[in-house]
Amino acid sequence: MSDTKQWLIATNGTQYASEAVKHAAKLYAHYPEKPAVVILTVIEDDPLYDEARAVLEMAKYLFEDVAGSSAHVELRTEVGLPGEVISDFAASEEVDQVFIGGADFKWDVNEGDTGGVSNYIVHKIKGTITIIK
Amino acid sequence: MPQPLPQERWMIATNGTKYASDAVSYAAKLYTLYSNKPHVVLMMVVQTEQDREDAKSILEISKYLFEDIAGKGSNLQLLLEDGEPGTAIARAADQGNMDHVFLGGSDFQWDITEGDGVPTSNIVLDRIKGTVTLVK
Repeated sequence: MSDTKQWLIATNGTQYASEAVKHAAKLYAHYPEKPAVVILTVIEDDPLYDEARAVLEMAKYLFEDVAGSSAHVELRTEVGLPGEVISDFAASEEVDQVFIGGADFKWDVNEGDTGGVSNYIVHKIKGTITIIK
Repeated sequence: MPQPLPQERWMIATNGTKYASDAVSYAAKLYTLYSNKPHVVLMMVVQTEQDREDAKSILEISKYLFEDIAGKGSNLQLLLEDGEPGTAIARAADQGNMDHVFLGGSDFQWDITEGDGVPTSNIVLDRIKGTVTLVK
């Protein structure tokens, strides 16, 4: 079986992020030794907290719909810049498998004002990263 | 009982490095979870004619590694492609209608303009639509 034990699913409620949740849930359903799962969303300002909560609840619903309602999922909301927060969270929680939607992946980060979040995460994180795009 | 995972088409790109072998190993472990066994293409890209024999050996060793974990008789095909690695991997994934591509991603760069060459994993991530797993 796969060795990964601590999963992080980063979502912002977009289509590809939801695909990442679903992909992780399908795998989870078949893992004999269930990994610990955190679904994380990042907000840049506190006033968005209610919206983030809704995104997380929807992601949990989707995960459990595929993986089964007995799946244990921890929900987390963090404040800050998404790429930095997700990467720092993965490092501090010793995450060994990350699932993200990668629709914002940028070939060349110099083309715009900032690089894509998924580009930043793939660059920073050590371990296994599954990107749905 | 969870619903069986759908049959998928996978491609594992290797060049014999540690992270590429970790990607082979990861995919093989995942393969064991599927009752509908994925069709797996294990591929390597050669850039010069001198590389060809080495590439065949690396593919054979990778096959051995995969089957050591996933079991012999796995639904596995070996593929050698020519050209620039990132472009060849993306092209093969497209032509093979791959659902999931696995590769070592240790060469991924935040800013591709920082170095001389464009990292293979950047090219693959940019060009492939679908699911990509990088092990790094």
